[in-house]
This record gives sequence, structure tokens and C-alpha cells, in this order.
Amino acid sequence: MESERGKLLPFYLVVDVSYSMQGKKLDAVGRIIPTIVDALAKAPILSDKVRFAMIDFADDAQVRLPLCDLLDEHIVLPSLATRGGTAFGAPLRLLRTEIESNIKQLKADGFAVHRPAVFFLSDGEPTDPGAWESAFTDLTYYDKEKRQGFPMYPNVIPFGVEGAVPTTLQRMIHPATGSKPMRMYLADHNQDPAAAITTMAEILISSILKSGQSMAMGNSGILLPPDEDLPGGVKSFGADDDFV
Amino acid sequence: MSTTVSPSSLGRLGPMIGKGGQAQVYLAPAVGFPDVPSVVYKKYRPGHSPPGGLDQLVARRLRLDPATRARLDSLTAWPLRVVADDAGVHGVLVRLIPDSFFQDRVLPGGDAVRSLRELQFLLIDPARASRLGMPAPTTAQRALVCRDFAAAVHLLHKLDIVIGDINPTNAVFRLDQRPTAMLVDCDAVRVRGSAAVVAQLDMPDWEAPERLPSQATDLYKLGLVVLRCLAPGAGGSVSRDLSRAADVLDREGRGLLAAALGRDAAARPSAQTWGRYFDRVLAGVSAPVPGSTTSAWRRGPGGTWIEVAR
Repeated sequence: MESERGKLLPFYLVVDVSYSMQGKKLDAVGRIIPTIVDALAKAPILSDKVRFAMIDFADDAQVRLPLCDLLDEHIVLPSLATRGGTAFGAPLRLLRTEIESNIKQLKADGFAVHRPAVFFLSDGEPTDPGAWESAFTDLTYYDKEKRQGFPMYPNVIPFGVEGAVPTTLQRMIHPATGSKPMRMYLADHNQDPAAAITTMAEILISSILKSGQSMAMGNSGILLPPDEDLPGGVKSFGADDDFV
Repeated sequence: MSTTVSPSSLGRLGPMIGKGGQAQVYLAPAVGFPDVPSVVYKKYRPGHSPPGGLDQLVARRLRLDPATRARLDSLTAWPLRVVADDAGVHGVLVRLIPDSFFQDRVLPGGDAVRSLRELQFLLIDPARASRLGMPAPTTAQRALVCRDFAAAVHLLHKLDIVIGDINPTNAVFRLDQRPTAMLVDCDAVRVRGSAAVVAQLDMPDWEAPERLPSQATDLYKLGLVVLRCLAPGAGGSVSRDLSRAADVLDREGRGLLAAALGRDAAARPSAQTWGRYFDRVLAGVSAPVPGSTTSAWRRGPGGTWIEVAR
């Protein structure tokens, strides 16, 4: 047995709070974590399996909820406000330092840790072209043989609504290939973006439940819901899918 | 007696009261049996109906003498009839889980909900359970739940059943009247000597050392139920650390638990042995009157439970 205290799957919810998110979209983002808390209240043994963090970003990125057990008594859920542009690089750089220090901490506390999962929600095109790509490589590149890169690299699942450009988000699916490729989720064109964000919270919860209920000690962690179970208004795409 | 009814005989279905990956559950107010008046229709999703064998489970119940059948119905939500027609199996009728196994509560987000009191709520930190609007039973109440859980396992084993997937979402408990437990998801059981109705998958953290499900792996998992119910708290749903229960079990109980969680399948205590153990430990302990404040209990000399005034 790897660890008597169990093996945890850390989820990082990264949300865009650039000015374009103002209004109903931001409200919908603000309701994501409380909805997850209620889902955990119905399946509380998942707290022995999963941890959550929330990072928001605009021109900069901030940890709004440090990695935690969401059913902990003393959690204060963050309030969100819009600010600035849409620099994808900022949260990607912050993720690398957060993931590294969080995993070290969990291991020091006696837990084994699954590969983290990052759900990355945006409604726009990055305002830092040329910069975010290298931050993404720093976060996700790892060569096992040469031991180069970031061994704690996360699985990345992009979520796009409204103005998000599918071909940009598609480049952030990680891993894009291999035995367990990730996917991205896009709201339909005619879908109300706030409703799409709520739908994406459902997908996230479904992934949490599915992963938590199937994670054995040796299992690799995150599972995404099968496409036939997706709520309406949102579609999933792989890294090789074309957009019509 | 026929083990099968047709979908058209169910009459008008009531509202959907639950759904999972495999099935949707509807009230079936037009259907009822003299010994089980309130039933629900568990309708398998397309492609998820079991390959066969449900008839055998239904027939086994129908062949029981009335007293044993009543006991089976009080300890489990056993398949009462298969719902099938020429196109195949559509679902099963099972008893409606009684109200006493449900809890009205308010979720952290403010929504009022009615929740099944799944065994998983016994495994978490009791203070957390209270905060989530669920009960935080005393050790004696937990022991009573374990005792009846063992009674359910014993009854099924006596009937030559292998339960397979024992996990904390497949059983529910109540504390009022008399604390007890009930197995609610019985499609994964099988008759010893035949294949499972549906694949007997292990829930992670509930696997036994042997890969193939058998009555011996059921007994291992019963040991996990005892350990995890009696020693709740952070990590409680994944722990196999016997020392967590050292403070609540006497020497005999600790010995039984060590044997239950051992690799030697033949040495694991039977469910009946567990039941008798809890009967002895709980002798003289009566269930609290509903609505009264709960008492604390500690173990006295010889392993008997002594009520402690708070």
C-alpha cells in the first residue's frame, strides 16, 4: 500500500476574470465552487480522495482558494471581481509553482498524490501571444527518459465559452495524445455563456465523482464523463478534432 | 409464481426518484405485493441491462418461507420481480426504501434536500457529518448498525449468495426505532456457483486481497465496514489501519478485526460470529428513545458497554 492516508487527486480550477467576464458570466463562475461543495456534501467520503484550488486571472493571476478539502469547516469561499486583460501565461506560471509546492506539502503530510487536473475556463483570446505558449510548455513538458521538464505536470482540460477561440484552447489540451488523452469542452455558439459555465461546473462535478469513485491506489487519476452523458449546450473535442 | 412481469403491467409510473450510471428509479404506485406494498421500478439504461441471472435471484426469494423472506426484505432491497418482455430485460422491481432511512437536511449552499443515509456518512468525522446535516451516532449506535449489517451478510451467506460489491454507498442506516442497516443495491450479488448478474466490481479502497469475489472477500469487506464505521474521521473511508479501532473494540473485537482483514481467507470470522460478538457487547444496551438526547458509551471491564452521562 502506497500510503495509509490514501491517495489524493488535486483539482485546480483556473478562471478568467478579465473585463469581458463581467455580469452573469462572473456570477456563474462564482457559483461553481459552492455547487461543488454541495456535491461533496452528498458524497463526503470523496474528501478522502480529492482536493481543490481556485486561481483567477486577468493580466495577473492569483490563488483565490489555496488547495484544500472543500468540506473543511474553516474554508472561506472567495468572491470574484473582474480586472484587466486575458494573459494566459500568468495562471500557467502560477500553476507550476503552486502544484510543485502543494504536492510536496501533501507528500510531507503522508499522502500519495495523483497527477493534478487543471480545468481552465476562458471566454476570450489570450492577450499575451508568444508568451503563454512558453509558460504552457514549462508547465506541461516532461521527458521521462531524460528527466527533463516538470515531472508533476498536470492534465489540462480547457473550457471555452463565447469569445474563446477553439483552435487556441485546443493547443492547451494536455496530454493531447497517448493512452489517456484529455479533452476540451466548448459551449455551443447559440448557448447563453452563463448557462454554459453552469453546465461546465456539472461536467467538472461529474468528473470529480467519476474519478473519486474509480480511483484505486494504482490508478492514474482523473476521468472525464463519457460524451453521451454530457449536458446539452456543450460539446467535447479532442486535440485532433476539426471545427466546422 | 412467475419471476417476471411485463412493462405494461406496471401501470402509470410515478416520478423518477433517483438515477445512476446504470439505471433510473421510478415510483411504481400501481404495483404492490401483499408482503411488500410499496415498490419502485429500477429501469436499466439502454445497454446496461444485466445479461441474465436476475430471475434466479427473484426465484430464490420467492422460494423462501415467509419468515425468512420477511427478514430478507427487512435487511435488503432484494429484486422482487424482473421486468421483461420479448425484447429482453428492462429492469427490476425492488422495495421502496422506508422513510426512516432518509434524512431531511440543508446543504451548505442552502438547498433543502432529502438524502438517503448512506453508510458513507458513518465513515466521516462525526462533527463534519453534523455540519452537513447528517446524524453523528454514538459508538453504541454504530455497533448496532454493524451488528445488523453483519446479520444481513449472514443471511445472504446462508442463502448461498456472494454479495461482491460491499461498499458505503450500497448500504443505508437508520438510528431511530432501532438502529439498523439495509443493503440497497443487490444487482451485483450472485448465487454461489454461478456467474454474477452484473460484473462484481470492487469499489476502490474496498478491495480484498483476493481478486475474485467470494463469500471470503465479503467477510473481508465486512471487516472494513466494522473498522471504518467504528473509527470514523479523516482518511476513515480508505484506511485499513487496525489501530484506529483500538480504543473502541475490546480484545476479542480487535482479534476478530485482525482476522477479518488478514490474508488468510479461511481464518476470517463469519458474519454470524460478528453478529454474536456485537450481541454480547451490546447486551443490556437499549436503543435510545427517538428524540431523546443520545448517550455516550464507553467500554467497561469484560467488554460490556457502559452508558456515560454527558
